[in-house]
Amino acid sequence: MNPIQILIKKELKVEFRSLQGLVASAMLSFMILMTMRFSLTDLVLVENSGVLWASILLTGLSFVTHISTRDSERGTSDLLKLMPISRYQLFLGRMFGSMFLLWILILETMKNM
Amino acid sequence: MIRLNSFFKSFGYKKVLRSLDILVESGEIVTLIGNNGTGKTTLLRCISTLDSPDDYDVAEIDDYDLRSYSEEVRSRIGYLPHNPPFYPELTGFENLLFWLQMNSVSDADSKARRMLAKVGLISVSDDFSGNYSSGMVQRLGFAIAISHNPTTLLLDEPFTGLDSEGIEIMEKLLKKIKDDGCSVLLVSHDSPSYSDRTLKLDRGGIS
Repeated sequence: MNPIQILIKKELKVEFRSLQGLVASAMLSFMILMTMRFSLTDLVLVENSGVLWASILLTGLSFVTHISTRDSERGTSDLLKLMPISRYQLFLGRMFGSMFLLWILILETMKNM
Repeated sequence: MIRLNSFFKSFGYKKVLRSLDILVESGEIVTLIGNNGTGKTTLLRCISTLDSPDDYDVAEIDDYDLRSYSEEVRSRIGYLPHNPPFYPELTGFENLLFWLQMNSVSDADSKARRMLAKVGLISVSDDFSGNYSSGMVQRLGFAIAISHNPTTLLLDEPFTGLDSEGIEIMEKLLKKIKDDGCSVLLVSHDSPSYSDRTLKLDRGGIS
């Protein structure tokens, strides 16, 4: 398996077992959407103005930050840096891992909207 | 083989390593002793490419330069830090499997089980590593450090938190690794009997 795929698999496994990032990001996404929904009286504005995408972008940023911070705090970033892969592959693995989780969150949000 | 010549590392104004020269041959165990804050851990982190040195004339692992061939160097190094980090959401087996897969080790599943059996963790291999005691964490760290057959082993106080059985297992494995031709640089407060040489680090240099 490609190192990037192994990293993505690991990120998903760790996240689904702890749910820390998913829950925090879901709350953030919910708060942004609710704020917009109550601020704008016309619901069409919420749906068509890109507010949804802005909330997704912000949630995605919080996800990447969460994963990086968690690795730094636990020292697991050192474990990753000891692996014989380039920093570029490491970055891509983490980024795609976060993106996968974000898409799961988006799909769940869309389903319930 | 580890070869360092005129190796420098500083943190801001504090010069931690000054013109350090070290040579560890293949199949040799060298113990590095020294007081707290003399740069022992910094040296291991620099060799393992976790930290970058300020300057050096020669810094090679098996003739591979630390900066120019960092990925090759990392694939040849096994590093056991003072507090080995793991993912607490993964089991001991999964943590080791992740490491082996990232190191492109073939037949990683069975190798991971074999390594866990060697360090005496097979009965708890499917427990989350977050529930491990400090001795178990140290054993898992050692298993990870040697699992991909490194040619150079860097150990930072490897016997911390280990019971007598754990120390015995680790010493036995260390002797075997040495016989296989691995260079071992061990940071400890006292020099074990099986160590070939002892170096004292003082004020950033070997005294």
